[in-house]
Amino acid sequence: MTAQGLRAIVDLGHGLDRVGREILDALPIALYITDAEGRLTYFNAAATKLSGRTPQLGVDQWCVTWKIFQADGSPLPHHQCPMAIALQGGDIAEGTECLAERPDGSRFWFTPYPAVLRDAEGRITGGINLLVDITGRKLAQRTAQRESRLLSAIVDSSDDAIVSKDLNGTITSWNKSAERLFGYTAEEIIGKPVTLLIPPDRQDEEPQIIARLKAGERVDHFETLRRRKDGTLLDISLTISPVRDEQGQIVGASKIARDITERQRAEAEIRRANQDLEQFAFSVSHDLQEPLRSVKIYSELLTQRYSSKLDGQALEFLEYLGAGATRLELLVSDLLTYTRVSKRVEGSEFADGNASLAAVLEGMSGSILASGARITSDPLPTIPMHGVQLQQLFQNLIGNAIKYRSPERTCEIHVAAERQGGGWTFAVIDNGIGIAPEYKERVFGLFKRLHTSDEYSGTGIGLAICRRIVDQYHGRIWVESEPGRGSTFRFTIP
Amino acid sequence: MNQPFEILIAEDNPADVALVREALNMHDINCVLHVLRDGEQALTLLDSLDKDPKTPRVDLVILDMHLPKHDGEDILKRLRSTEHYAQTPVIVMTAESTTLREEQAMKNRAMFYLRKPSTLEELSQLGAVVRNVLNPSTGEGRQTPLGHGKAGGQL
Repeated sequence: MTAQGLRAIVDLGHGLDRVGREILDALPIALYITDAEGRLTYFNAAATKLSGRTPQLGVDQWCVTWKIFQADGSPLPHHQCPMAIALQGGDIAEGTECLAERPDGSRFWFTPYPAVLRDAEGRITGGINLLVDITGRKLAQRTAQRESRLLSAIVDSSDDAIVSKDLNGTITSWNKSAERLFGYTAEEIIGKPVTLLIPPDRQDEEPQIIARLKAGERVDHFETLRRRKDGTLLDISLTISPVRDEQGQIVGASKIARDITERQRAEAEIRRANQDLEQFAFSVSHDLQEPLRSVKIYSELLTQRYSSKLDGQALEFLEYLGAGATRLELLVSDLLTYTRVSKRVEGSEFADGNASLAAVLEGMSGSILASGARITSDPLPTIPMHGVQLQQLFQNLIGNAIKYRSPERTCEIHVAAERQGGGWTFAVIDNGIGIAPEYKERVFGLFKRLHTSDEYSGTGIGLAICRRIVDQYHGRIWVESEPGRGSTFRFTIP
Repeated sequence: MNQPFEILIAEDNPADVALVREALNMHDINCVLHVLRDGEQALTLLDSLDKDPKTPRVDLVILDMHLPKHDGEDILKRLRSTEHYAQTPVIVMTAESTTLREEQAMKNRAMFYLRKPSTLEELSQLGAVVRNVLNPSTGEGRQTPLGHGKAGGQL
């Protein structure tokens, strides 16, 4: 080291006046000064704090830190650190990020801002370096990266196609399931219009979807058809949500497409199986009527023609035969009614609740009069349903309310309707004998009865028919009851 | 005493044949009932009757809708296309299991159309319909009684 060099150290480190040192010491940013050889001539308090050590002036070279690493984690020798490079006349890229370790083993990230000091002749006399602690930002960045990796792992491992697009309908992201489902790779499709996936006859769906997204609405479980790369069609359920930027502006949409081909196939199969079963039940009950007719008429003939020749027991047997045939006839005809419920005519029709109820009450006037029942009703709505089926519901429910009235009090029946969600809930409320809780579900079963035919007649088909009708409209029917106080049958038509 | 009426009945169920017999008895209809148990028998008989030079007499045909081999509609068509029996009255009896389409086809060609009786009252109505169709005054100009011609042997 030359005498001049030594002077320079003194100049740089000790050349600062007291005020200058105090100012630099008070800076919250780590700062140090070196001579032309990189030996430390000054460091401030923040540098001590950041590096976790107290360097030795004139001994520590190039940097205040204990150990430095490159961004990839490999050790960076001090003589290659940014300050060393700067002092050797090299350039340091702005925003270079370094990782350093303190003697206690903890690590921190910083960005160095080295600057070279020159004398009047332009010779390098030393350097000054600011170390800006970026550990907080780096950690946040890492967390964000981890989250983003996690998120993309989820997106990538999802069975559903997850696709995003901007408001022009250009595809901006494409996960693995989208690749599997639609047959396009991410490279092929990103940047292309989403309409590529839409069959020609459904192209009008996209503007509608975009309009809803722009309004901030979500499109939920929209079942439609989309086209694969090979041109084949795909049954999918789409859920599309708007994506907003930091300012809350809608900038695009994320779309989850679920392959429902399998589900639809299964549903079609169930429908077919149900239809077969219905057809079978229909044929059986239909064909049963023929032999039944013979049994019935011959037992009648036998009774009429030979009653004088038969003894008391033979006549009793004959009576049982006739009663059995009559009951069987009723069962068969009820079963036919039940299977016919599903033969609902397609198309839209509206049922006027008030008119339907009036028609039913008129038809039942005999039993209403005989039972002394008092029937009241709310104003009833007009609903999308076949009038005959609404009448069938009223008929069965009011018929039951009359049949199972309490012998102790006047039979009172009220028909109510209440708007619920997009549909209506109807109620037939009575003050009859009620139903014990354990039978609340059972009463809706086919041919399920709670009483002997001596107590109450009937085959037990009425409520099964009601359930079948309500099921067809994807509604629900249930009973609330307090035994001995009355029952309330409710059904919803969505 | 008038000669008995000649009635052909195509019906495979003996219980229903017996019912028809009962219905005829209820109304004291004096007749000979010729029973054909399936569609093929019925068609063969119609053909041989039509070719018989004596043209055996047939006063009424009672047809069941559902028969083995050929159904009632086939028999009715054949009957209407014969030379001598095209005008013979026909009563069609149908069971519950008859479809609407079949019913319509039969109604278009048959003279009377009845559901098979399931009560004594309906049974009696069947007898009354047969009596009206036969119209007791028809005694003249009768053809050779069935059963006395060539074809009669097989009945």
